[in-house]
Amino acid sequence: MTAQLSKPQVLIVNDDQRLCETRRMLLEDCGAMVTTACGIVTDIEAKLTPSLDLILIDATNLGRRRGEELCGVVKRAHPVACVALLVQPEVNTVENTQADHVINRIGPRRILVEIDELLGGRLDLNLWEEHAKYAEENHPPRSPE
Amino acid sequence: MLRKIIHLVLPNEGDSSSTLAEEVNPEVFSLHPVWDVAECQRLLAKEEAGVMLISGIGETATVLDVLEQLEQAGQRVPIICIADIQARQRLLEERRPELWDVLLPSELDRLTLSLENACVQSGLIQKQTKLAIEAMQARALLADNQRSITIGRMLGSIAHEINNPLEAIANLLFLTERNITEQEFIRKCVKMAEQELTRVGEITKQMLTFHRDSKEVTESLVTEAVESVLSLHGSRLRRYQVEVRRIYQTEGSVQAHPGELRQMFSNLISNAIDAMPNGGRLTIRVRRGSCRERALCITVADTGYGMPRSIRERVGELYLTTKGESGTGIGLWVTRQLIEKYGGTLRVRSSTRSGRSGTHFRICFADPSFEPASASTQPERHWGDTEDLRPSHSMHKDQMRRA
Repeated sequence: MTAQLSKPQVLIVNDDQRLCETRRMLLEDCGAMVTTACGIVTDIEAKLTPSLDLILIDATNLGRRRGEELCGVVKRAHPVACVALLVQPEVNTVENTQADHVINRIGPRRILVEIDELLGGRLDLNLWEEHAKYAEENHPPRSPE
Repeated sequence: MLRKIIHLVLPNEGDSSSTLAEEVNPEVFSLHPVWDVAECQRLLAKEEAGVMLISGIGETATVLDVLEQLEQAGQRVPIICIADIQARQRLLEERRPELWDVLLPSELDRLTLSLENACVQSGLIQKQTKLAIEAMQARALLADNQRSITIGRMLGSIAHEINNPLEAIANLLFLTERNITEQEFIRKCVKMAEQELTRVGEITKQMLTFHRDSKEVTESLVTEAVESVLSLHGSRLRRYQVEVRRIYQTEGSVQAHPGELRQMFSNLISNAIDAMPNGGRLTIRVRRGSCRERALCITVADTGYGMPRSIRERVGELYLTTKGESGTGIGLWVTRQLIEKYGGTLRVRSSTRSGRSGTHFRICFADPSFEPASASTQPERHWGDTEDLRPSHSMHKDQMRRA
């Protein structure tokens, strides 16, 4: 029970059922508790619970405007939740999003590492190389000067 | 510049070419005598001369035969005839447009002036013909480019359709690697990955089918074309939460290029999706009609914004767009051209009234081997105003029937 409570809780919002399923499998395999919702506001609202640690909304799948709109809907309904917008860098250019974070869809390793960062390292990952790469890209070492 | 004149010398005369050559200014005109029509046509085809002179006319029927042959070969040049008074009378009664002038042998002093005027006319004809050919080529090019534009517009949608299964496969491979010892789990992942690959294959197949240009008119199924287009627009339909309602009472067979049939429906469906950015319903109905002229009727209807009367009246016009910079105003024009090419008709009904707005396109194709459908055909609900976009010949028929 305690172990279950300590598991990070993630809500995946995506209108592509098959992609949603593989992302759920991926996160569950890394020790998260996952619920899924399609891109309809009522479905998302029904699944918003205070215990959620992260809400992943796919911008590309729902269309850039819709994905960003949903971020706003979720933030209004559940202001404390951490909302991450998944984007395809070659398709989406995100400006003034209401999401707390933007995650680029560039492979499962990178997505997991970024999600793990947002969850404070609570995922069961063994991707130190990817972690190091991500850290280097986002927090480059200071120059000696 | 020396202007070359073809001088057709008909057989009942001796050699009049030298006499006529004396009558024209040799610094301006050069007479090129020929003795048969085939040679005339060859020279005209090579565009070596823009004006023709016929002399030696005895029987007017011979000249009319020559004119007929030139017309059939599509060679329109101003023609000057030298004829006696009876022949002139008969030729003028014929009022052939290419007959520029008929001179009596006693009027040869005005031959030079007549030739000069004919040359001016010939230049105009050549210019008009050239412009007509260029306009035809430009229209064909525009229609061809529109297909590329359609594909370009669909690329974003197709990219989403392909990227999703690819990401799913990447996820599954990652999971397989992480759980390499769990046979059952790996089997499940591989099976799912296979399904995703099939999905990618289907999308690329649809895309290639759309792009492939069939050179032959074949028996094409309307429902197949519609489904292919819907599949390519799948991502946009989901994104805009557009519900698709299919009412297929028949598969709808049409003699057409499959690619052009898809292009036709792609434009209508794409416009319908654009008209419903906040969701709605797209209805596609394929049914057998009730008469020979409308043997097959296809309806593409949306519950979008609808079109105001000012736009509705101009639907199908080239460069007419309501989408600002993102629209080209070519899509519906091409659709209309394609429908007319296959002898079909296009009608549009549209309403902007709140709560019942939408646009309804109906395409009808004729079928010579038509047998009336036995099923009862429900009368269609009429709403908004109707604009008839049928080709003019059908419109004439309809108007005549009404009269």
